[in-house]
Amino acid sequence: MQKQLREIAGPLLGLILIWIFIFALAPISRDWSSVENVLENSTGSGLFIMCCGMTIALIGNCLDLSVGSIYALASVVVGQLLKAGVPIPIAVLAGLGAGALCGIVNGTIVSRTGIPTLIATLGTQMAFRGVADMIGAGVDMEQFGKTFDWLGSGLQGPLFCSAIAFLTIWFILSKTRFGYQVFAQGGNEEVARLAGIPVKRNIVLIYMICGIMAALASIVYTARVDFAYVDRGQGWELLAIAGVVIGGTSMFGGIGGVGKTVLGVLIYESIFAGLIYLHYDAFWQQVATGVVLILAVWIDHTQRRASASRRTGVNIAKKRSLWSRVGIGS
Amino acid sequence: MLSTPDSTDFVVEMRDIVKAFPGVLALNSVNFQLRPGEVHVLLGENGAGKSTLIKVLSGAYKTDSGQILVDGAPVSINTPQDALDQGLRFIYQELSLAKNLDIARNMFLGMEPMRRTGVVNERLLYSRATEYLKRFHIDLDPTEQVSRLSVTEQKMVEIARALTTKAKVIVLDEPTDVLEDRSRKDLFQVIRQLKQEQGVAFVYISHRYAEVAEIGDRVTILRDGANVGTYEIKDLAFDKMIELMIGGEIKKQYPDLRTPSGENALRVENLIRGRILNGVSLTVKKGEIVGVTGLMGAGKTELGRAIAGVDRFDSGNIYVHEKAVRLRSPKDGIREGIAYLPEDRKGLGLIQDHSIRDNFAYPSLYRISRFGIVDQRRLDKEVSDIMTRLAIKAPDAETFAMQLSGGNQQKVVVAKWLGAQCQIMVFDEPTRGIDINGKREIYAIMEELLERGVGILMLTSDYTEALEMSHRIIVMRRGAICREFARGEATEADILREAIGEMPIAAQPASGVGAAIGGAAQ
Repeated sequence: MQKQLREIAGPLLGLILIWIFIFALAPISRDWSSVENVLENSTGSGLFIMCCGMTIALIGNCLDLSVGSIYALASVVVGQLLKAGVPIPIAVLAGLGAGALCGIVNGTIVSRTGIPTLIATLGTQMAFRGVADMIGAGVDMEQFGKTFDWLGSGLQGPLFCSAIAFLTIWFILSKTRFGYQVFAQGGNEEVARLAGIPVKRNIVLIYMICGIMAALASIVYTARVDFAYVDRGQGWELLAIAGVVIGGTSMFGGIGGVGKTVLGVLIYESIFAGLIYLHYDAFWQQVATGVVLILAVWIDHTQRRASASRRTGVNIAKKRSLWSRVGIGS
Repeated sequence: MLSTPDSTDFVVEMRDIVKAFPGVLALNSVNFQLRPGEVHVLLGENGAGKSTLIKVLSGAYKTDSGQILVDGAPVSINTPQDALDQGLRFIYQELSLAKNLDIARNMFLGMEPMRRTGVVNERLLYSRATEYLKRFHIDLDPTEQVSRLSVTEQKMVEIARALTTKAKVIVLDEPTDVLEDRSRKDLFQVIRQLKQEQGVAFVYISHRYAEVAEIGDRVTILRDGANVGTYEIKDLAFDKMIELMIGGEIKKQYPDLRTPSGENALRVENLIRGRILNGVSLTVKKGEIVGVTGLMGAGKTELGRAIAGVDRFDSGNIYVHEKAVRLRSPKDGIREGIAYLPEDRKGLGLIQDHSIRDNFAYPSLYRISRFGIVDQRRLDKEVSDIMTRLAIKAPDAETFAMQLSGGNQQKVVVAKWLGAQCQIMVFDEPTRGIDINGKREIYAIMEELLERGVGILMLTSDYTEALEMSHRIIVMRRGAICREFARGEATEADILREAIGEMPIAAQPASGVGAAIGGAAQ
């Protein structure tokens, strides 16, 4: 327990510092509603749920750049079905199923062909968005009714869905055999294979879970704004990666956890909130996203490379959280 | 082309070359002299320092101290480009041609004749290529794409390429390993012609004695990173050569290995995989260590990997406790109780930045989980038990693998396979790169494994290790078993002789041979 606390000490401290900074500079923010606002932004857009999926993907060394397109696809699938009068549970399941299917496609391509994950999922990113356009471009899909809308309304709905996503991923990663295998193959695929782990099958499962989470994220947001729209989720894969990596999960596999992702997403959204309180406009948010992402991955990367060169002949290196690099935490 | 005798007698001279790697002195003040127009063979056991010496000359490694002279003038070779500028050419075991291009383009890669406009003068390119190929009697069409050539032909193209620029020295690293008998003759023909007509000097690395005697003029023997003598080849008998390569080491004490139980733990029948394994059969008893040794590329690792299900093989049968098993993946191997412990412990034995506990868990996940959920309490208990039993020195089970010493890491590797209840363990080079104390610890672990009835197949290039730590020693050569020795039956010389596999052409009295020409280690 103490060890776990030490591991998240860095991000936690970072989060606190950001808020001290915001409170100090923007008196208007000194209110419970600003915290509530950050929580709503994190969960209501579905970003946190998507990050939960991205966490397992990055730990398993299965980078997924197609989540933004899956986000769009799931939205129009659910929208079309609800509009056609399909019962809500079935429409929701179909949306999640679409995400799962996309994930299976990703996983199959990566595990069968051995194409780098970056390229494979960049390709499917285009393809999935194309499919989404076919289903939903120019179609009017809105007003799905109160029951469905609850999933995304206020703080309760999104928080509820986020809790489900969090608990699922947490359980998988820390309790199940599959979760252990994800860490193992993300840490070193050949070691995992030699240990009898079905690496290829797991790749498909990892992408499937990531796809389902992206779809769930999309359903929450679709419910929140009460209309489905195809032009969503552009560039979201980078937001998701940023949220996960800032929390301390490695871009390079084998290290991390979904608890860290909670902090990562909160930090990310807090930076945004801070920019607004300090009256920077929306363009600055985009700049900040880019800067934060590059910074986070850079720190992760240099740390890995530095420790690799220290240990001659070893190319798997120490991949600890980026926070230990900047001197906070473990 | 011959350098003038008054300027220098040597085209390349390496003086007092020292190169150390962490924990190993790879080259200990080596002197090496190459005359113009000679074929100079470099001999030595695995790890004697041959390739390190060549890499120093090629600029791939930087020396710690020492001097390199080309045509009598000191030069500094810090990059491969420096070596090229000095007229040194290197042809490695692996082919280094751009397969998508044709022969002519490969021969002049980066040095294409240009027109004034900056485009390649193709006519000149092909006519020059034709000229060179003809001059060395290489009967190939310069417009042929390299990917369509045989391995021999590709080797020839590499040599032809080396000659397109003014090559003074060509270094050939085990060039004939991939060649058939007939094409070897072709290659030798080209070499002879070049040294006579152009005065090109060759450094020739090979293990094959017959070949060495056929093509070589002089030979330098390296042992443990030192030059133990340079000889005229015609003066050096096979036995003497073997003696020099091994050195007159005093025989070490064998530890008492307990006699195995007599039951077969593992039986392998006629294992075949492409051209790498040509029908290997062997048995390992419970509580027995069978050492498999041979030169590099003899097929040891491939054998071990096939037996553990890591690599597929074409045909052959494997029996575990006399029950036929089918192995298509490491998972099958583990199910049947066969573990493969790779040579690269840091890279492939353990996940360095995961804890001892997690590393221990990976191969046992199916055993210690129910309905897909890991029984954490049971895992914790098993980890702490095995850490006590194997005396793994670590603060706790959450310690990262990379924080452990080499010996302790090897213990964790063994622990994880014991945890997976493997009764047959294939150790690939168990002690390479480990210091004396670490070795002792690992041997102790192996002895303990024997007491538990584990059968061990130990793949090793270290003949001393094979002799000291095996009940039986199997020598492999080119994918097949060529000889089996009982414990205490063989000496290092016997093993090396079998591993090289070629008998002396001219038998000479063992004493008084080999007039040292100079260049012996200081």
